[in-house]
Order: sequence, then structure tokens, then C-alpha cells
Amino acid sequence: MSKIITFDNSAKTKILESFNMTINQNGYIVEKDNPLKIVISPEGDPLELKKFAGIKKGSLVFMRSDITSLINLSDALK
Amino acid sequence: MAWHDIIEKLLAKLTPQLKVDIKHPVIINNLNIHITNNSHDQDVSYDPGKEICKINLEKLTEDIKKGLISSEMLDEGRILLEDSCKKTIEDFRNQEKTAETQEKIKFLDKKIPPDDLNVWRAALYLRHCDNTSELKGRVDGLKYQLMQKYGDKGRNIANLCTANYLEDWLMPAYNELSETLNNDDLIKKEFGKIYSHLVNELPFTIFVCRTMSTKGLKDEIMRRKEFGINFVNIHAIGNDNVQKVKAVIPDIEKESHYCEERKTGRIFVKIFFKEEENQKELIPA
Repeated sequence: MSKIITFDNSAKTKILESFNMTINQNGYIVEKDNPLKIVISPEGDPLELKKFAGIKKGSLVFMRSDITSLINLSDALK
Repeated sequence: MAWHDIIEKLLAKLTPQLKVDIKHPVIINNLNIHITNNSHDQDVSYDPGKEICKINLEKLTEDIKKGLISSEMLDEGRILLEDSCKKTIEDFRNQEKTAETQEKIKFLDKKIPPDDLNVWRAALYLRHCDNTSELKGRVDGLKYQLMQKYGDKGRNIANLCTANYLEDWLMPAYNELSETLNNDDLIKKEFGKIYSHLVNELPFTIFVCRTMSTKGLKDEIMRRKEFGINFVNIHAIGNDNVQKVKAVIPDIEKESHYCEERKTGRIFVKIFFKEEENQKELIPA
């Protein structure tokens, strides 16, 4: 796979901060300027930090790390 | 500063280790870049073995960090992905491209509800992990993800796939329908009923889980008997679950026949309910 920039767990929060996101007290990713707005994955699920897989364009798409979300991503990258 | 300029500036520190033209955007796009955030790595480093340029956010100035991790990073089709997720996608793709898996997916495609196809693709990957010693540690997590996202159906598909019901039951059932019915729409409709019954209700199968008590297992067996079904297949993995099955067998034997097989830590028991004593044929789990 090309065009993938990887990161590890240690960089997760910093990356989200750079995209103006933060983590609420329940562990969900929310907009820094609007903490009531929880980030939703392409499959429509509210996204927790521990399930955050990465980001792609399409405005900004925050992806989940569960296996069927990764299968969808894999298909989209083909 | 533009994203390409920042990358160029960072990677310039790696010369002469990195022998590529870092001014060429195509080459930059094809470089393996990994982002980390720790106190021990340098701001930029290169691993020649893995051919990865590592960038450490902790050691970058705020300006550089802001310019690097920006929406421009995601231009030209680039995506940011956690390394473990990239590995999972690579493993998944390698497993899925085998002729064996392709045959299964081709069989399932357009015969089952479209939303179920990815659950089966995930379940086939889960089974591959279960059968591969270095990936075995992923099995519980994958099953949990399917249960959490798709509820009972996700759990049932994961269990049915792991116990080979796709090859041993669904595919033969479809072939049998194809031989007895001439109409493709009717075959699809009848198969759809069989499929839906199997994955939603597990009519003749019990997968013993951690939360199922011995009494619960016995109740499940008797519930299948009350359905009027001739037999029930019981699958258990792990010593605790195997013990539950062994504890129930003597009680059940009073009213039904049973048989048993399996390797260490796994048990398969097929019980033929007494009303149907003529059915004693064993089928493999």
C-alpha cells in the first residue's frame, strides 16, 4: 500500500489536536471548539480515542479501527 | 510553509542515509513515513532495514508540527493510519487474496444480505487468525468487535465460520437446492430462508461461551429439542467451556444419544434426540 503515513499510539492525541480535536471525559473524540460535537466514523458510529484508526480526506474522515471498518477502508484504497 | 517543503526540510537531515531525491513529490509520496511522539527518538530518523522515515512530534517546533500534521498532509490521496491498522489491512488482504478465500466470498456474494458480506469476510479473517499461531492473540478482539457492532448475528457468524459451517453446511445446502430446484430466483429465496434461520437463530447449534452456565447449556439443548429438531451440535473451546459440556452430557444421555470428538481444549458433541434414534450418522464439526 502506498500513500499511507503511519503513526503509533503515542502520537494519536497530538495528531487529533493538530486537526483541532480533543477528547471528552468519556473518551470520545470531539471538536475542540464545540465539545458537544462528537466525531462520527464513516459507518456512523461515535468515535472513541481507543478506536481511532486514522484520518483521510473527504472533508476530514476519521476512521475506526474495528475489522469491518478496516475492510471498508481496504476496499476504498484498492 | 507548505507540507512538501516541511517534509523536504525534515528529510534533508537524513542525507546521506536516505539516498533519494527528496525534492521529487512522487518519491516523497512513496516514502514510508511514520509519526511518533516520544522523548527518546531524534526529530527525524531513518530505519534502513524497514525503509521507514520516522518523525518524532515531541522534538519538533510548534510551527513545524502544525504545518506537518495538517489537512495538506492528506492531499494527493495520502491517508494517516495507525501502524497496527495498516498491518491488519495487509494481513487481511494477503489472506483474502488466496484462491480458497476468494471461492468462499464468491459463493456468498449476492446470496446473502449485502450487509452480511463484510461480516463473513471479517469472520474468514478471524478463522485465519485462529488457525495461525502468531495471529491467534487477535481472535478474541476480532470476535468482540463483531459482537459489539453486529450483536448476536456478528457473534453467530464468527462462531459458524470458525466451526466450518460455511463449507460443511451452507455451501452443500445451496448445492442441494440447485440440484432440486430449477428456478434461480427460487433457489436464492429458499437459500435466503435457510441462511437467515441459521445465522439469526442457530437452530441446531450451540456455541458454549464463558457466560453460559452448565444449567444454561442444558436449557439451550432442551430448547432445541422442543423445536422438534432431530439433533443439536455443541461446540466448546477452552477448558472451562469443555468442562461445562462434559458436565451436561451424563444428564442429557438419559434422554438422548450423544457422540463426542475433538482435540485438546476443544470439544464437539452431537446429540441425537431420542425420538429420532435412526439418525446416528456423525458429521464432522
